[in-house]
Parts: sequence; C-alpha cells; structure tokens
Amino acid sequence: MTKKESQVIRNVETGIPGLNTVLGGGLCEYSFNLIAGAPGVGKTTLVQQIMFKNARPERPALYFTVLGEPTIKMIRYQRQFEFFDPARVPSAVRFINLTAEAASGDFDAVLKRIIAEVASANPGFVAIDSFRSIVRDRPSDTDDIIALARFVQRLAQQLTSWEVTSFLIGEYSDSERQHPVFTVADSILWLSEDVDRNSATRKLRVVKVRGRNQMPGLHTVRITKAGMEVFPRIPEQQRRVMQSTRRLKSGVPGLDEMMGGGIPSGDVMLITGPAGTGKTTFATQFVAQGLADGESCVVAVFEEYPDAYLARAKTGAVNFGEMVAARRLAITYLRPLDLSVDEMLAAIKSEVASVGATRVVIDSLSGFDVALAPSYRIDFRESLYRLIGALTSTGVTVVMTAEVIDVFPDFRFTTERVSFITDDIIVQRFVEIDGHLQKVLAVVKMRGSDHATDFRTYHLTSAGAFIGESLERYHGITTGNPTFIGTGPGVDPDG
Amino acid sequence: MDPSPTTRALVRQLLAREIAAEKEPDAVGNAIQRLYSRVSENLRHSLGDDGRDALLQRAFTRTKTQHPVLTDIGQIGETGIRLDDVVAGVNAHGVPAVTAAVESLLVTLSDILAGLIGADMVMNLLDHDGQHSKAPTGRQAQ
Repeated sequence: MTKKESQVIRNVETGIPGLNTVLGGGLCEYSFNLIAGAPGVGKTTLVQQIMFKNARPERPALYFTVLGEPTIKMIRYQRQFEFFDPARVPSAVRFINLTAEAASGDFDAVLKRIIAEVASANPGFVAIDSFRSIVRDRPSDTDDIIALARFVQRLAQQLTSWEVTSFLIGEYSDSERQHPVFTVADSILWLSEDVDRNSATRKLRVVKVRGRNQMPGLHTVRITKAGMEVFPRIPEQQRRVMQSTRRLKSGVPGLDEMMGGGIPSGDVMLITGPAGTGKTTFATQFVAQGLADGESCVVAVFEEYPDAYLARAKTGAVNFGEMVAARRLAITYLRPLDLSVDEMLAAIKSEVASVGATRVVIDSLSGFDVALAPSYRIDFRESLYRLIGALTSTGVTVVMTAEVIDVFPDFRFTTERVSFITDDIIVQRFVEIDGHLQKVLAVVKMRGSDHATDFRTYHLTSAGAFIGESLERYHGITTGNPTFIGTGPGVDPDG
Repeated sequence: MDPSPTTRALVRQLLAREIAAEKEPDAVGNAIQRLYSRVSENLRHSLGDDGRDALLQRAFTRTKTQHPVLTDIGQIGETGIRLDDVVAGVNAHGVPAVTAAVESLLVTLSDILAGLIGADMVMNLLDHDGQHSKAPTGRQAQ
C-alpha cells in the first residue's frame, strides 16, 4: 500500500477494543464488509457496536433486518449492552425490516428497497442481517449463480456510490467460500466458537482486508455487558527490551547476595517448589520491596481472590491495600477456566500501563494453567512463551511461581518444563536434617550472571522470609536426607 | 397488567397533538385514523408486517373487551389490524368514546412494547414524529 492510498482511505474506528489493531488500524471507510460465522457467535453485536459508535443523525446507520430473528427480539437483547443507546434510535440508528421484499425472492425488489431507503436517509452505515437469508437457497443453477453475483455486485456498487460503509451478516460455513459475496467483499471477518469440554471460547479471524495489513491468526473474543472486546493474538516474535545492568532488590534478606547482587532488571525469574515452601511469600516480598523503593507493581493472582491476597499481604512493612488505593499496585484476578492467554496478557498489560508498573508477579503458573480454556492448555508452553515474550518486550521484571511435587531424589524445576523461557530459577524444597524438616533453596540458573551454587536454608516467619545458613558441609541434599560431612555443630533449625 | 401512568400520559400527548386543531367530529375521526396509520406504518417499517401485526393483534384483543367500540371501527384481517371506520365510529359513538378506545389501544400497545424493549424506546419506535422520511415499500400500511 502506498502512502498516497493510505491518505485517501480513511479509517473507521470500530469502537470495539482490540478490533482496530487486528484490522491493521480499523475498517476502511465505504468498504463492503462480510461478517460471517455460525449463529450465536456475536455477528449482530459486532456490527451494532460499530454502528452505535459511528452513526450520527446527519449520517445515520440503517440496520436492515430480514428473515430470521424477529426485530423486536433482537432489539430486546441488544439493548442489554451498554453501547446500545435507546435515545439514538431512530435518530442515528434505524431498524428497517426487509422481510416482505426478501420473502418474495426477487433480488430487484430487495435492491430497490435498500437503495430507496439509502437515498432517503443518506446513511453512513448500512447493515443487512441476515444477508444469508436473502439468498439462502441460491444458487441452484448457472442462471441463479449469475443472478446472485450480479445482485451482490450491484449492491456493492450502489452502497459504495452512496459513500456507505456496509456490513453483510451471514451464517456461512467454510465450504461456502465460492459464494459471490466472498469475492466482492472488501473485508471478511469470521467469528467462530471453540467448544471443549465445559469451556466455550469465541474467536475472530480476519480472512481478508483490502487496503490494510491485518493481524493473522485467531483472536479471542469476549462478549460482556459492555459489548464485544477482541484480544489480539500475541505474536510469536517479540522484541525484547535491552536488559540493563541494574539489579533489583528481591526483598528477601540474603537472597540478593546469592544472586550476585539482586535480580537483573528486565529478567524473568521462576520460583519453584512444592506446596508450603513459601513461593508466594518470596513473590510478595519482591512486590513489597519494589513498592518500598518507589516502584509500581502488578500481581496476577489465580488461586485466591484479590481481597484474600491483600489481607495476607498486610503482614509486611508495606500496606498493600494503601498501595492499591494510591494506584501503585494493581491486583489482577482473572476469571478461571475459560481464559485465553491473549486476555491475560491484555489484562496485565493494561494494569502495567495503568499504574506504570516495573515489577510483575504471576502467582502461580499452576493456577494460570488451570484458568486457561482447554484449547490453550493443550500447549501451555507455547501460551506461556508468547505471554512472557510480550511482557518482557515492555521492559518489566517478571517473577513467576510454580508448584512442583517433591519426588526424591528427582530434582525438578517445574512440572510445566518452562525453564527455557526464564532467565533466573530459584528452586525450593524440603529436606530432613537431624530429624527436622528444613526448607532449603538454591539458585539454579541466572542467565549471564554469577550466582551462589550452594544450598541454603531459609525461614518463613511472621515478619517474612529470610535466607539462613549455607549447607556446604552437607552431602546428598537432593536426596532429601542429607549427611553432615563437616565438623562442629550442624545447621540451627530455628535459623 | 395495568397501563402505566407514564405511558398513558405520553399517548394522550400524542393524541392531543394530532387532534388539537380539529373541531368537527369528522375531522377528529380522520386525525385519529391518521395517527393510528402512522403508528402502524412506523411499526411495520422497523419490525416488518409480521412484527407489527403480532403486537397490534395482542393490543387489540386485550383492549376490545373494555372498549367494544373498537370492534365497530376496526377489524383483524389478513393484513393486520385495520381501523377503517373511525369517522363512522365517531358519528355513532361520539368523539370521547372513540378517542378513549384508541387511546387505550395505543397505551396497551405501548405497555407491551415497554415490557419487551424498555419504556424509553417506545415512543421512538411508535412515533418519531417525522424525524426521518421513509422510502416507499411493497406492502403499505392501511
């Protein structure tokens, strides 16, 4: 597309969050658009949201209803959405019934009526819902194919000549791509629904857009009381922000020394261990330290409600509740079980931008896995890879927690095998020393940085976690039952 | 379902505006018929013949018991509810009786619509007062 063309064709702002991005900027003004998909996927909602966003009394939107859902019922349901403004009906958005003409099967009568209404109202937008019902049983022979193609072409020519941005809504299947409307349409938006066990996820695919560089792939769609929202699919390739040499304090006394001076800014750190080892405590202290240092933070929680998280986090020196009120801290709680990775990223990025966060905590990956819709869980690693790539491209430092089951003498980082996407890994585990259950940890990996290689004890108290002694004088720690090989007293179980 | 006072007030305003300038019974009858035709056509334009007919049939059925005069001035036919004999009705029953009957019919219609799509949209749908002109269509309202 040349620069000259992009200046001629103006964008129509859709009013649907995320859709403009997917479309490569928005819909082309005066374009002839096909909105396709099975019943119930949100085609009508998509078009009406665009119409209510753009229609003005001097350039209204004409919404032609044809055979199918009775208009009164469509209005009844659509007005439940916040974008539907009853006061703008019919001054800006007008519902016109075409059933009589459509039922006659006479293409000329349908076209004549549409053009008469367009000439009378001078609309900026026209929708035909459902276009499919006008031409449901056609074409059956060559003459019908020609007649249908001619009708679609005349309709497109007429609407473009009247400077109308138009939407044809239809229940089409993949096997019907030879339909003439697919050829004539400037853009084709395909809505679908993935049903997997108890989860249903709506998706949008931009099959075709003339004059725009659209985002390929399937994008998650969610319909709420506010209307439709599209979550652009996170691209596989993300440009990572150049990491600085700055080190962030972890907030856990003794840990920064083990990590060569702290967590490198912009890193992705994984804290892994079995239940009860204090992963969340470490992550919470990382947040508290950031807040104490004047930074802002985002915490994505999956296993507890934000109120419960805040109540538990109150024990530290920093009052998390006050920080939330001061917009220094955002707690993101995402509805479990049918989440897409794109929605999660959108929610976290929105909060990062909202509070200006430099630290992000995901607590935990295990909870995130469960919260995802089954179709995303199938390839959790890919989902996480795209999510982390997108987050680190914003320059934030990410700490994630992951639960593993201690199986001695295995030494597992995480059940999700996600270590390849992390820069730093801390492994926590339980061992038995002199009849006491001790918590120990080791810094297993730090990309491009020196770090301690010894196991150390750590302690969880009402004041928080802190690192204890080195276990350099013990042998066989990974077996869970180490042997003291030094002289003098062993570790103090109380720290 | 009792008609809501708000709906009744709005319908009264609608009728009053239509017949305000008319003094003679025939002229009042014509004005009422004109208003009904406009409401019927507005409904048909938005909802189609079937949508309009279904609503008007229910309103007519619910109102005619209280206002038997409706069966004299209107009928349920294949082309919906038609008010063909308003002028004759006015001459036979008087302006107040016919006005009250049509008012009740429109109030019932409005309340049915309010229950379906919300009271704030009813008048927008029934009588948007020439906010836009409509193109000619195949099957005309009576």
